[in-house]
Amino acid sequence: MASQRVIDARELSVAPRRRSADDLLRMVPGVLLNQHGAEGKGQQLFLRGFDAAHGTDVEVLVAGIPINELSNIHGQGYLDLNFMIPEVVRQISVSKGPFQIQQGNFANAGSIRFELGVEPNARGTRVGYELGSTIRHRGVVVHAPRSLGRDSFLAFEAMRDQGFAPGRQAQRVASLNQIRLVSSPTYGTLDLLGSGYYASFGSPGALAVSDVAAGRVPFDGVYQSDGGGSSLRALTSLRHQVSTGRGRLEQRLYGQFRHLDMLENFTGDLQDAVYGDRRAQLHRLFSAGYQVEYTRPLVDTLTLAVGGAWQGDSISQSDARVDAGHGVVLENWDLGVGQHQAHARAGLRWRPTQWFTLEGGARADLFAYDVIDRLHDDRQKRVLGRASPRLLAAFRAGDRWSLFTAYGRGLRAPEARSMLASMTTPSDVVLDRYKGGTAKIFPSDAVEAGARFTGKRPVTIGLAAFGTWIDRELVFDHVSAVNLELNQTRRLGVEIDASVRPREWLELRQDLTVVHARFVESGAAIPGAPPLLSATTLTLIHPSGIRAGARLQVVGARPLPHGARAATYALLDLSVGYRRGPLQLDIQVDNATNARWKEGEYHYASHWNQNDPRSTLPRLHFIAGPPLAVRLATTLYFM
Amino acid sequence: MFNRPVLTNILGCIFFGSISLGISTLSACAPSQEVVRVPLEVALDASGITATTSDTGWTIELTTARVAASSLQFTIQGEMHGATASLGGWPGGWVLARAWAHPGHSAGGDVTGELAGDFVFDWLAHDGMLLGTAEVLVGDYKGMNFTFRAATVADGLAADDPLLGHTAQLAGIARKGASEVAFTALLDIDGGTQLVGAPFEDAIDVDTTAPIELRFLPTDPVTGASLFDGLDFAALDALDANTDGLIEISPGDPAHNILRRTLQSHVHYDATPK
Repeated sequence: MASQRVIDARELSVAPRRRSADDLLRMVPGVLLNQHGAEGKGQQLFLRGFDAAHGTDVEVLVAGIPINELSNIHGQGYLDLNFMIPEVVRQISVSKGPFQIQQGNFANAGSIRFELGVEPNARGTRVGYELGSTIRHRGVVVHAPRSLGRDSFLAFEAMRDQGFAPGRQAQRVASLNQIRLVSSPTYGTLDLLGSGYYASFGSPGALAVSDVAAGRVPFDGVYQSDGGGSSLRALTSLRHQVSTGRGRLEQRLYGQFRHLDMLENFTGDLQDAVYGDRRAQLHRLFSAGYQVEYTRPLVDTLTLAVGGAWQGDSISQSDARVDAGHGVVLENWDLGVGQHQAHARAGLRWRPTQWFTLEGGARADLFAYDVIDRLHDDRQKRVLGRASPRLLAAFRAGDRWSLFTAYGRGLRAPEARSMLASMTTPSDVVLDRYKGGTAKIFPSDAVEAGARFTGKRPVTIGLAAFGTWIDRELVFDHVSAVNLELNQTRRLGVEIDASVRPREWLELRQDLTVVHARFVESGAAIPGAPPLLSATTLTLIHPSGIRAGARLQVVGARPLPHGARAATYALLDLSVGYRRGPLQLDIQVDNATNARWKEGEYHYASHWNQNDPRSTLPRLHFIAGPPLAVRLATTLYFM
Repeated sequence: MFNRPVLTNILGCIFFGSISLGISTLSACAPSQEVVRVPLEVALDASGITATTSDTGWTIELTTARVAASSLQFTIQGEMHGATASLGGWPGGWVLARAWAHPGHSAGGDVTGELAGDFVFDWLAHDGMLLGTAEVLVGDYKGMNFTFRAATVADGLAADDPLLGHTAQLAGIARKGASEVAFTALLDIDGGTQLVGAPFEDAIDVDTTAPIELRFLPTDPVTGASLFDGLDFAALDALDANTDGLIEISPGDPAHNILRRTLQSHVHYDATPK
C-alpha cells in the first residue's frame, strides 16, 4: 500500500532523538507525539486527523503482542513503550488505516508493529554508555551471539535523567531478552521472549499561558513539584512457527503483569478550593493471551489466511482526589475488572496475474466485561461484538507504477469503566441531568487510494488520499462518568512521501501529511488534530564509519477546543556518529536550533493563584518542549 | 564528482528540503491563539413570571420570587450528538455535569462564559437590575448554569429579612374556583447544588453587545408543567395551624420538599439576549 512503511534497523540506528523506544514512534511518518509527563509516561499520539490521546486510535504491537491497554485507569488504549530497548528494535512496520484483517481494536488511524531482533551486521556483544546535557546517564548492554539467528538476543538498559527542568526527571531499568529454543525442520521454531521493566518519572503539569506571561511561573516551570509516577511491566511470550506442507502456522502464548501509578494536577484548586485537585491513580493488570494464524495457498493464485486471538485481563484500578500530603480526599473509582478480548478472522488473497492483487476478508471481535464497583457495591457485566470487513486491491502498471485502493472498517471497544456510566451519575439532586448513553463499540469507515512510483534510480514517490468517517464516536468522560456520543466526523487527507538515495549510504526523505478533520454538520475542526505534519529526514551511513541523521519536523497549527489554536513549530534534531573497529561514538542533538516551543497545548480551566478570581472559563495551557540538549554516547563492540 | 543522475537526485533532495524549510518559515508566523472574550451585561428580567396553573388546578400569581445563587455559567453544546443532548424535546436540555479537563483527554460540559459572584435574583422587586458583566467566549450558546446557596447579610439584606439563611422565597396568591389563599414559601437547597442546563440560545461573536437577561419561568414553556405541580393549596390551608389566611411553607414541610424539587429544575429558568 502507498501508506505502508517499513523502517529498518539501519534507519533506526541513526535516528535523532532516540532517547527511548517510545521516541522511535517519531520515525513514523504522520505521527505526532506529545509528552505531557516526563520520559516514562505514555505519550499523547496524533495520526491521520485523530487525537489518539494515549493510544485510543492507534494499535501498537511489540513482537506481535498487543500493547494498548483497553481499560487503563489513566486512559483508554494507554501505550507505554519504554520497556523496549531501542538497540534491539530491528523493524517498525506501519499500516495506516484499518485495511488489513489482522488490524484489531484501536486501529482506526492505523497500526504500528515493532519487531525485535538484532540484524547479522550488528550482532555480537556491545556495551554502551551515554551522557547527556540534562545530567543524563544511560548504559546499555546487548549480547547477540553471531552463532544465533537475528531473533536471539539479551539486552539490558539503565537510565537516569535529571531532565531539562523541574518535573522532568526520569529513571528506568529494563531487560529485554529473546532466545530461540527450538529450530527444527519438522517442529518449526520456538522463541521465548522475556522482559522486565521499571521506571519512575516526574510530571510537570501544564502552565497557563497567562501565568507565564505575567511572570508568575517560568516557561518551563511547574506549579507543584510532587507530580509523577512509576511504571512496571513483566512480559513473557512463547512463539511457535512451523511450515505444514504448503501452509504456515504461527501461534503465540503470552502473559504480562503491569503496574502504573501516577499523581497529577492539571487544574490547581479549581474543583477543590480546600485540598486542591491532585489526582492519584493506581492500575494493576494481570494478562494472558493466545494468538494463532494459519496461511495456506488453496491454488496457485489464491491464498487463505485465517486467525484468531484471545486475551484475558484481571485488573484492579483506583482513582482518587488527594491532598498535598497525598491523603485521600475523595475516591472517584475503585474497581475490579475482568475482561476478555477475542477475535476470529478470515481472508483470501487472490493474485490472478503479476499485476493485480485483491485481498478481502473480515474479522469478528468480541469483548466481555465484568466490572465490580467497590465504592458503590455494584457489578456490571456486558458482552459486545462487532464484525469488520476489509478489502484492498493493488495494481502494477509497468515496472515503475503501483496503484492501490482499500476500504476497511475499524473499531474501538469501550473501556471497562464506561460499563458503570449509567450507575454513577448523580440522579437524586437534579432531576433532568443526562445520565449518559450505553457503552458500545463504535466503528469507523475508512477508504484510501494511492499510487507509488519507484524510479529506475533510487527514487520513490508515494501519494495516498484517505478518508475516515465516524458516525457517532463514543467518548467516556471520566469525571462526569457519562458516555457521550459525538456528532459525525470525517477526516480527509493526503500523504506524500518522496525519497532519493543518490548513494547507497545516503538517503533523503520528505514526508508530508495534510488532514482536513471536521465535524460534518457544523464544519467545526476536530480539536487536537494537526492539519499539517512535515518531516524532512536525512540518513547517512557511510562505509568509512561515519553516520549521521537529521530530522526537521514541522507541525501545523492544531485547532483546540472552543476555537483556540495551538502554535505551529519546527524542530531540528541531529545525530552524528563514527565507528572505527570496535569503538563507536555518537552525538545526538535534540532541538538543534534551541527553539522555545510548546510541546503540548490545551484549552481548559484551571485555578492556581489564590489572588486570582476563581474562573471556570477555559484558557490556553501548555507544556514546554525540551530545549537544546546534547547526548554523547560511546559503544564498544565485542564481535 | 557526481554523475548527472546523482546530481539530479541531489537537486531533488534540495527541492524537498526547501519545501520543508519553507513550511517551517511560514509556520514560525503562527503563534498560539486564545479565544476572544466578549464582555456582556447580565440583568434580571421578570417578563417570564406570569400566572401559572398547577396540575391540581390552582392558578398561582407570584408577588415575590427571590433566589440566592452564585456563579452564573454559560455553556455551548459543542459537538455532543443532538440525540443525547436533548431531553424530551427540550431545546436547551443539554444538561451534562461539568467535567474537568485533563490535557489530551476529552472534557465534556463546556463552560465558556461566566459571571462570578454571589447574587440574590429578586425578579419582581428589581426587574431589570444589572447583576454584572459576564465574560463570554465567542461561540454558539445553548445553556446556562448557576449554583444555589443560602442568602446572608453580605447580600445587603436587612437583619429581619426572611430570606436570610435560606435559598429562595416565593410568595403569592393561589386561586381555584372561588377559593383564594395567600402563601409564602421559604426554601432551602443544599449550598453548592448546581442548576445545570437552563436554556440560553445565543450566537455570540466579537460584535455582540446585547445584554443577557435572566428569567424565572413558573411555567415550563415546553411542557406546560408548573413550578407548583403537586401542591394542593386547599389541603395546605387545612393543615395550616394559623388562622391568618396565609399558608406558610418552610423547611421540613412535605410541601417544601415538593417545591424545592421543582425549583431545582432547569425548565423554570432561561437566559435570553435582550
